[in-house]
Amino acid sequence: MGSASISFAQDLKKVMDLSHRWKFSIGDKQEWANPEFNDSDWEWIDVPSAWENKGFHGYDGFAWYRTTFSARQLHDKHALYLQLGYIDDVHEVFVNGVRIGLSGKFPPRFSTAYNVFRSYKLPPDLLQETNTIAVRVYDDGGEGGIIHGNIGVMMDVDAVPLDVDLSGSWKFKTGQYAHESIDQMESWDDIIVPGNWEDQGYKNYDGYACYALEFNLEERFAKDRMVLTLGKIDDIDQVFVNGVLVGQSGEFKPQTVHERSNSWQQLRGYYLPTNLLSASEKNTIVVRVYDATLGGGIYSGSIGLISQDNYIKYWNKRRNK
Amino acid sequence: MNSNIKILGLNKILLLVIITAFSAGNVHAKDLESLVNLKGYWKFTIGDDPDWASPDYNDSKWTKVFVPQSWEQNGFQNYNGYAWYRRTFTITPPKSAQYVYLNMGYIDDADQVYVNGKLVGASGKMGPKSETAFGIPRMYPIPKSILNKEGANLIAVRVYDDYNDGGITGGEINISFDSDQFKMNVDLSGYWDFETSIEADESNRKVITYREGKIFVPGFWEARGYNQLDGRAVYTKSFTYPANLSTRDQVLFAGRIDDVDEVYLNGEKIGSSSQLRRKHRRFSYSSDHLILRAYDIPDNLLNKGGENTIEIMVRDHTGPGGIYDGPIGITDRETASPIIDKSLKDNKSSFQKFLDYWFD
Repeated sequence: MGSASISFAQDLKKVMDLSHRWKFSIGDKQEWANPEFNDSDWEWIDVPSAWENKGFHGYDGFAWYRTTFSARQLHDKHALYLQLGYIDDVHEVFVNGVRIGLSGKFPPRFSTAYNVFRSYKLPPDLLQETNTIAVRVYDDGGEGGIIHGNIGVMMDVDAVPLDVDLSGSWKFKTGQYAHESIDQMESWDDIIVPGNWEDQGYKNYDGYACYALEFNLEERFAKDRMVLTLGKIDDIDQVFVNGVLVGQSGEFKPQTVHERSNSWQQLRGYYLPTNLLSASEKNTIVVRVYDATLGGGIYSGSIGLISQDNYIKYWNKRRNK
Repeated sequence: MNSNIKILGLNKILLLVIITAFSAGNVHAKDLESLVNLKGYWKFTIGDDPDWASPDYNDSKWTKVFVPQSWEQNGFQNYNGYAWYRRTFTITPPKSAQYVYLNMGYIDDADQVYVNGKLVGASGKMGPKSETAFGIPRMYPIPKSILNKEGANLIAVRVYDDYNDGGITGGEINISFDSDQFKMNVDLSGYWDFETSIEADESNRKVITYREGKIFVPGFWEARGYNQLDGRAVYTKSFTYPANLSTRDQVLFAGRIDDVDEVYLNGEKIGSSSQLRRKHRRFSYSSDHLILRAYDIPDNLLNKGGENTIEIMVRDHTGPGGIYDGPIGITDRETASPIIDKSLKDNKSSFQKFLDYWFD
């Protein structure tokens, strides 16, 4: 369920414009993601624009974009998203050397995402005073690059002020019984949460899939009554924390999707039983998802843990807005 | 085509639509006397904590919401999960009643209701494997013994919403009693033996009025721990018929039943909803649940001064089920007649009102 427009489901407000001149180079080197890399002899290029119109006529293949931004004036660091408009054909985004987003599939199993419009969550722990964005792009033919769209740092006005942000890279496997091989999750694919799986190499996939994440927790949160927020999930989900079922959409049965036709627009906030989370051992979240049609997966919103007290404050504030 | 006829026909349809619209929210008028009106602003918070059931908990920092109205309409757009409502009230319960009835309207999806810290009712199922009861009007009996007659009483309502609208969303919100119930010479409201194909829900067994194998009448069985029940159930009650009362010209009131029933007294069938349907010129099964069950008791069938047994077989097609509303008891025909007449006047189906208006 869900349509292409769901990428805009969040109420995003632009807090910093990034449509200006970026550094640019054709070619492909992993070290270009590194913030320490010296790009002073790279070309300048207007973002957004097709590189064909900026002196790279007829070029197909890999190219990289780089720029920096200051986080000093950015408040509400838990609520920030990087929006890069439409990128032709495939891209991945690094901030301070860490990959925060991916759309399409690079060769050899190429799959375009030229018509995908996405915003990538900026993990708050990643942000420093000066930050480097590096975008690796692959163009298969025709126009290439960061072509058009509203480019900048955005703020989700309804973001949940999480105590523990769990957005970012999760493990992912398709199939109804994927969760049964959770002990081999190291060998599963990586996926960025939140984000539709269709945009991350699972084009046209409908059905069951399983997300998994292991994380450590500070002692003060393990003692609190915590809520796990998972933003919006398309279509229905079943969530386990440390092996215990903590929430699900109704009966979590494919045949119920048609009666819960707006399930994909519902915010997920699951209250965790006290003493379920551990400060001394790794915690595991497993999210089983069933998608009936179109966009699927944990696709938008705040992903992480918040104490119940802070969650109550958040909702009261949101109500009075 | 004659356009005048066409216009007249259209007007009739319009009228029917209007009548239907006006009667839709109103199951039936009845002689319920409200002791405490609970509509209005309640203390509210999202979240979940067992301490919030306690009268000792200080909720002064909580926000306020209007009841009944979904929490989405109260500004909590898109919120799903747990939330609590709290409110205090004072009450002077009628002397003759052992129980008063707490009406909490419709709650989306599941609820647990505490009065003075005691669990008095629960419907649906809380997470993580939730089950909705959003279409069931919640009426829970409160034993008079737990009420504080000189001072404040606290209601705390724990709600779980799976998705879409959540909270106490509509319906009657009050504490009431049915004054017709006091017109029964033999009061048969309260506990009846209850046999059906499923067990009461685990969470309902903690309700203070829960009794194994029994059900409190009146009340939808979904609000008594049988949320999943559609189909048959048997209500049985044994009682002593007082020696000083007549066994002639007596009427058994079995309240209102959703959907159909057959009634046996001391092994003899004394009536059924299908007979009543024909008697009252009702044409459709869909309004069976509105008919007040008043069954004439054949003379001398009652065992004077000895034990009598009533069995009521109930079949519910869909939606809420059971003996859901009073009065429940036996009284003489003289007392019964005005109660029956009133129910017929008040409870005509909108279709029947429409037919009466145009064809009588």
